[in-house]
Amino acid sequence: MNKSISFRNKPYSRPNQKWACGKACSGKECLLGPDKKGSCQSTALCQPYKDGDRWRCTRPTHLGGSCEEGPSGLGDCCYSGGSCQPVLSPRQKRGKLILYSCIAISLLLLVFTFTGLNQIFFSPGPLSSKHQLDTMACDSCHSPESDSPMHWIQLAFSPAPDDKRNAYCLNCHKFGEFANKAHSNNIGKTDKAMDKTVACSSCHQEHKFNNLITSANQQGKCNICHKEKIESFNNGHPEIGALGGGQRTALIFDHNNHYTKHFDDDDHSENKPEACITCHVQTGNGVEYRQAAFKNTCKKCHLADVTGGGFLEPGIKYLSVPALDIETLEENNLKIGLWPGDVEDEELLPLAIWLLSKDSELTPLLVDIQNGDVELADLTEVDEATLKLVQKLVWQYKFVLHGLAENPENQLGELRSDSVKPIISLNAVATAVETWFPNIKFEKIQYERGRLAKTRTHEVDVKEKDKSEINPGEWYLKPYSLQYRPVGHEDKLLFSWYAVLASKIEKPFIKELFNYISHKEQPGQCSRCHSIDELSSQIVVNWTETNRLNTSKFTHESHALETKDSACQSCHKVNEDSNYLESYKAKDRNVHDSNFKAFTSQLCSQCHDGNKVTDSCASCHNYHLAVSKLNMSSLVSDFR
Amino acid sequence: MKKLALRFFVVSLAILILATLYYFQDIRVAQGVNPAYDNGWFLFVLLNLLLAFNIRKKLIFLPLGKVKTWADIHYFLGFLFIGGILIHFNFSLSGGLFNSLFLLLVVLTLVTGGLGLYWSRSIPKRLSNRGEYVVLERIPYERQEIVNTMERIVETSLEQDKTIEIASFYRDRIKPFLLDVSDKNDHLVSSDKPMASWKKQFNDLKIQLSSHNAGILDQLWPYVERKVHLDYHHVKLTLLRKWLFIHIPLAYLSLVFMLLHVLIVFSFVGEV
Repeated sequence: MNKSISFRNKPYSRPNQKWACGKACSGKECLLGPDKKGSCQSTALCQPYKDGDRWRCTRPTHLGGSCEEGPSGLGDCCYSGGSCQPVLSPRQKRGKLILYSCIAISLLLLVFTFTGLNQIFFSPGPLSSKHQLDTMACDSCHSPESDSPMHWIQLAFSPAPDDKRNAYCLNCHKFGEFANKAHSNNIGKTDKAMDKTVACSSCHQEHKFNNLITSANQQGKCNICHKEKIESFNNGHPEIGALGGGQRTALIFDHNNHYTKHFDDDDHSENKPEACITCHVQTGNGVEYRQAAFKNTCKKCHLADVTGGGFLEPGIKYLSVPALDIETLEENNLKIGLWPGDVEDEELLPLAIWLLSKDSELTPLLVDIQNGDVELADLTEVDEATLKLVQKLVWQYKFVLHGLAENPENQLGELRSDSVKPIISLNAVATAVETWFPNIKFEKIQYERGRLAKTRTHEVDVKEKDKSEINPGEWYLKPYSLQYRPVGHEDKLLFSWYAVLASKIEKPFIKELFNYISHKEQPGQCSRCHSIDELSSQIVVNWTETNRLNTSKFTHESHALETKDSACQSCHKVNEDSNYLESYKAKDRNVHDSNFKAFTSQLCSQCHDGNKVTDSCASCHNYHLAVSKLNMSSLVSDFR
Repeated sequence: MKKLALRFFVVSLAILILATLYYFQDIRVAQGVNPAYDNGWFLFVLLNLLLAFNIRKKLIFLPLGKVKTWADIHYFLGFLFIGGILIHFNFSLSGGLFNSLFLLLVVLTLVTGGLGLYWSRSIPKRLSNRGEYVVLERIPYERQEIVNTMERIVETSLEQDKTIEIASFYRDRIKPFLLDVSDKNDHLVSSDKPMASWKKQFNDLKIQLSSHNAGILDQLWPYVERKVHLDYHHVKLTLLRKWLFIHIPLAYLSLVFMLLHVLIVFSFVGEV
């Protein structure tokens, strides 16, 4: 057999050429091959060449070699015909297959993209079980335009800001005012790096089968923002510290004092709790132990304190007739009309100061009175201008009180609140005004006409009630003051005062009023047990522990601890040297000297080593410090 | 020894790259970046480099290195792509119709690529055991040459001996066998059945022939044997070429899906 691959014996293979000879598969390929357009060029079996004056046959060996007849005298091959239908070369066939398949698939994808099928086709997988609700649709979490492919292109090059994307999650998941911030809280507002919007998708991912909605368990997630990088619980984690995660408890209860002093007292020894769980009850979810209700615990000893029974005066003094240096005013010919005589030891109270502060001309004098620079009871050393201001203050005070009785809405102004109970008894105010300033209506008419009534004093005739006669929840009048006795624990009126004042704390003179009412020695004694946090521009009264920033969690139930004291004390060891009560004076939740010794990480790491039990951050720490409330109502209404 | 060392180096390099990619994820997580974006772009670049091999074969006029070198790099990148895909999908299945189809395409591309690699390594060795190696495009000429030669032998035998047994055997059995590729399925599985069958037919005929005709038959046998080998070569070489008809379109389709995947990912980036 001929094994040569010379051109004469066999044509070269040209895989890069677009067309191949149609006879190639039968081994009878011509030498010329098809042209670039795929047309057969062969009109004869060979193309004779001229050798001197003779034409010679060039038929290749594989087609039979030189023929006997030879070319004609004109140099034409004597075997005409032999044309074929050229075929595409294999590489061209493959190229066309690629092209057509890409076009077909692209068209198919376009059909899916631009029709209503795109949501089904492009959905990256089923939702987690918690989101598999009848009311959920794509636009519950994505913008309504998200089914438009043109919108995809727009979004790919200019993505929507994180807060806009978060808004879809926050439609249902309510994390409060600072939901978009780190930890759903404003803890980072002083730190620019932290005071930025955090996308929900930083930690949560949907369409990931089953319940894999959160990736917060990934150790590295927390290290993104936290400067102190923690590799694992056993590597880099700081000591756990005291109970409360560095923050004091919302309720003030000094275990040391109670156990070493009060419960040893014969008067209270019978009220000594039998065990820790007498006062601490497990929450429904088994996570925490919370303080039991007041009525089941503290009430046994402290009922009289909250109802004012244990005080010299059972009620909080809201309004009063301040002692006034009438003589000096008269000497300076400054008329103040009718004023109660023989008033001693009464001061202008913070509520009155706030009511008067609406007159800006009086503000400097009110500040001086508040600071003790001016005493209304002794005006002998006060200059003439101040005396005139004092005169004005006296008249204004009478008119303000009269106005409070006549038109409380107008006088209370910003302290008016529809959401809380009325903060003052208008009947009691009216009685007080009538008693203290019986001529006020006449005097006011005269004053408006520019004529001031002469200074006169009168005796206030009020029958002073005995302490036992004053009922809890009663507004009562003493000769020169109007007072309120708290009804008991959870007094709604006091709660309203706290709520209204705390919400307006930044207003002038409100903080002083709040401090006056919330003073721990005031009847009711709310702030003796309920701690108050002063933040930069707001006041938080910690009525319950739920207001706290619970950065950590410990599920007592899953740790299967016994409820005996010994079991509790294996972790909660009383710190007898703590300065617990002092730490609350700072009104800063981060200033804390716990009643209990700090926990050691070693205690937890015995089990939480990442092998036996998980040591992920999220297993012990809460990310969302604001309490989540799921609001499905908006979702339901959208799809009804 | 040098080849073994090179292989060891290449495998080590692949493992090193993939391990870096895997552990780089933790760093990116710590930076607040979804590592899927990194390894996604890594895969995008890899796919384009893999497809560049096909383009390289068309650019024969440019000095872009040996095709064999390109092929070796192609295999290396292919293995990297497998590892990259596993890391990108976090060693779990993807969800959704589009993503599943995309993954299926990628898997099919990788499987066909793996088969191609296996065939391109195993088939040449098998071919060398079945006659002389021949280029696929030349098989028709070889076949035609066998036809011409055998017809000359048969014609000569007819002129010398007027018996028609040999001519009939050639016309009825051998000629149809010579005109096209036969026993494709048997050759596909590298079966010896076709050769055994012809051997039996020759032996069966031989005992009926005169010594002269038996000699003629012996002259024909090497050509039949060669034709069986040519058919084997044809089937195997066709397989070696045709798998690319699946592998390359799948690879391009994967690129189409990947582009759309990138668009969708960046459209919904930051959404839960």
